[in-house]
Amino acid sequence: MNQLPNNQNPYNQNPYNPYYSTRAVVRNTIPKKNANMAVISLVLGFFSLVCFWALGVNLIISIIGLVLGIVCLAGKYPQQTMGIIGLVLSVAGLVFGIGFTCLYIFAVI
Amino acid sequence: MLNNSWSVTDSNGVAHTISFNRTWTGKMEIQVDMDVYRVKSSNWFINLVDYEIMLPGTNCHVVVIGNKVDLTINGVYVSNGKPFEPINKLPVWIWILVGLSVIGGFLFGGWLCMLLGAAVSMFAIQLVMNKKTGIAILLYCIFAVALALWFMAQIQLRLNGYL
Repeated sequence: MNQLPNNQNPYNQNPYNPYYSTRAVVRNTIPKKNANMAVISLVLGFFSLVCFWALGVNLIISIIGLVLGIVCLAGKYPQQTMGIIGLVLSVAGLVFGIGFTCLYIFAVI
Repeated sequence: MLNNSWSVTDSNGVAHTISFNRTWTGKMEIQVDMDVYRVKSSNWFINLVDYEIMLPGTNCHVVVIGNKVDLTINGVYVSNGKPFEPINKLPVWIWILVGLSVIGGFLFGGWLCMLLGAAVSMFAIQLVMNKKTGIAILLYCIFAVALALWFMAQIQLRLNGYL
């Protein structure tokens, strides 16, 4: 199989050149490791704090936010600061949620 | 099924056909002449695609935001002639607002508000790409107020025993 010589652009060449190609080069311009996880961790952390009074919902969203924050930090994803904030908010939401649940249980009993 | 097709001529005068296909199942493909490329959304909330297609002497981008599909040729949108702003250059705060509106919509208003949040986000991203940041923020503020009113109305109805 013919190989392109080094540092040679396949385009802008003479069409009679054997290495000439008219095939398109297609690539995704958005990086695969993007800020999705950090953003979702932050958003879930925020809502876990806002919804600390909602017993089940708070638990679910704060745990998901916590896991995504940890994955974001461990996987060296971009926007690490946002991941850290998401992690902190999720932990705070979880603590407030558990505290509120305990208070609610004591009040009912 | 959604199909968009464009014809692009490169600097050598060779005509290329670029098409974007999306099935009802959400599977997306870009076809350049006879070659088919599988495409995945880069965002978890809405369809977001920015694929660069390099043809001899011509640079194209297939841009998908939500349901809107467009092609840029050498930095200009085919549909409206506006300059192309790469999606990965958009500020991070817009993605935070997208997440807040979609997840907040679901938590406080259910599936319908989640879909409304996604629609608002789609529109807001296009506004930010056109440098109309103020209008995008205003749109999110209106959505937040509407969602809060909807949530409070639901609580009132529940407290009064109507729901």
